[in-house]
Amino acid sequence: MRLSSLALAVSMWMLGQSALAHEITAQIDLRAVVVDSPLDSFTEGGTGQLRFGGDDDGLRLGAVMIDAAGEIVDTVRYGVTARATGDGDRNPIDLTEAYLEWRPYASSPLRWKTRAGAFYAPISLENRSVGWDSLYSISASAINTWMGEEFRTIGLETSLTALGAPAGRNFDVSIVASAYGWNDPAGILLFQRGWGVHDRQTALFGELPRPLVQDPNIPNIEFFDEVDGRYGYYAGVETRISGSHVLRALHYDNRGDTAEEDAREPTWLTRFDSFGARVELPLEITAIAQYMQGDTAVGASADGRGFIIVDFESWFVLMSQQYGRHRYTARYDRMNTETVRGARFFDSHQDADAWTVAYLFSFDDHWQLAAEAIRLAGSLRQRAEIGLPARATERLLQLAARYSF
Amino acid sequence: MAEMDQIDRQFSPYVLAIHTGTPVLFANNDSVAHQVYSFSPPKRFELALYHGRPREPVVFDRPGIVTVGCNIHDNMVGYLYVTDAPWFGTTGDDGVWTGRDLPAGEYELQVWTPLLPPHEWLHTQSIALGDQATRASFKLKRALRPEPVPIKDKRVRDY
Repeated sequence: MRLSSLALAVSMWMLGQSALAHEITAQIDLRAVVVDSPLDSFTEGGTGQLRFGGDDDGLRLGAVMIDAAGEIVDTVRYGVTARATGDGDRNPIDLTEAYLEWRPYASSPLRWKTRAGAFYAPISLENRSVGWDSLYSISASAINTWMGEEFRTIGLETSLTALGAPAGRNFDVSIVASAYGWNDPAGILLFQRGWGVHDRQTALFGELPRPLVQDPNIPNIEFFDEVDGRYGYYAGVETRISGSHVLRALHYDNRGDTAEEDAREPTWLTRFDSFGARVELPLEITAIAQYMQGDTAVGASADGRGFIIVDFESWFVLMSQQYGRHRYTARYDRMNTETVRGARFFDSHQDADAWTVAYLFSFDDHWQLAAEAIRLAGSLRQRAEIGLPARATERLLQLAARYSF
Repeated sequence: MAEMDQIDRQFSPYVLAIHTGTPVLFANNDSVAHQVYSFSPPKRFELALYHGRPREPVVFDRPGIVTVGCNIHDNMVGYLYVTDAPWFGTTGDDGVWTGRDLPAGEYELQVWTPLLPPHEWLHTQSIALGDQATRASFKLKRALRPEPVPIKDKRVRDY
């Protein structure tokens, strides 16, 4: 074989390989937004819990998202997602996930999966689309919104699944465990602003303005940072029935050392339990419910539990129906936080709920139109710190045109 | 040669009945790549990631039940029923299978389905065939489970 034909063969093989192993998706999401709210959005340093606040009527960028996934070798996949949200974040476009996943072929009904890098913990039952977008609405529930804001597993996760099919069971059972770092600030946004409902994902090097600025030298929150040198962990269990119904439970503990305060962000000790179920019903109706309960603490204390401790709790119920190219979704979110220690220094207290209705129309494989209305109402005591009434009702109507290729 | 396709991230058909020694082509009709494998004792194999038609079919040279999966899409599951029997097939949506041109004689009739708990997978009865058409029926103790559903929405990525 002459060298040129060898080179041709090699390049053809490479072309074949690359066509085979990589999927790249780019999506642009443009929004028309109408807001009825007395508050500025948290994205502008306000205490509003939606992505758009009082003065944000008009055309907005939802996101530009680029996602690449594929194989490096036969059993090792990669996933990389970058997003731009157009709201003055430090980097105009930044990574939200970047990881490697090793899936060795199962040689018995037990199969391993291991991920390393930066990725989402297996908590959300809504964020199933490319780029971790919700499949059912524009904005995620309060629980999964918080996951997108303050959480990323930057570390290692491994899961072991007992496959049911070879043994004639119609369900698989998995256990998952992870060790990670760079999640010490997790809790600060929930502490200051309470739960929110939106679709903005914090990028790995992203920042947000602080809702309540105490030190004017550091007006922004930097989310993914390692302060105390301790790794955190989570462990969970999942059952998947008939390949479609999903039950999940997960315990999360970032093992933050609350005595570590000499950093840009002090360390938050954040722990929670998360439960979720997604059930596929007849007529292509999907029902999802998730519940989360835990606490977050900051500041040195004699017992090491934290100077200020805030309990938090949220749940939601979602119903969605796919009808041909149409999808209709309704969701109710309940959101609570309560300061159980140190409230006289800073009283973080939220008592709110939210209704979300959404309609999505998938015109073809490229175009999707989405309309969503949210009404989030309740109180947030922290607003008193900056002279605002605690109670507020925020209403948002947004229309999104999404083009992906 | 028989074919088991992959359509909308699911195997089609869900159950493929073949005679021992039959080569099967696992054709991928999806825009995403699949990685088909099995660790069932009658046939262990792995097809490295591919689009479209794989280079080689897989020959099933021992009778038995072979469960196939996709290493990337955990929801995908399919079965090959590999048999030495001279007459076999899969039932249609109406639950009926028709065998033609069978010589008269004594037969053993077996049905198998993975849509029941495993101890109820296999049902057997004896049947005598004469010159006339004969019907045999199996009454199942419980309703079959639903087959695994394909994932039609290309946006879904949580595998």
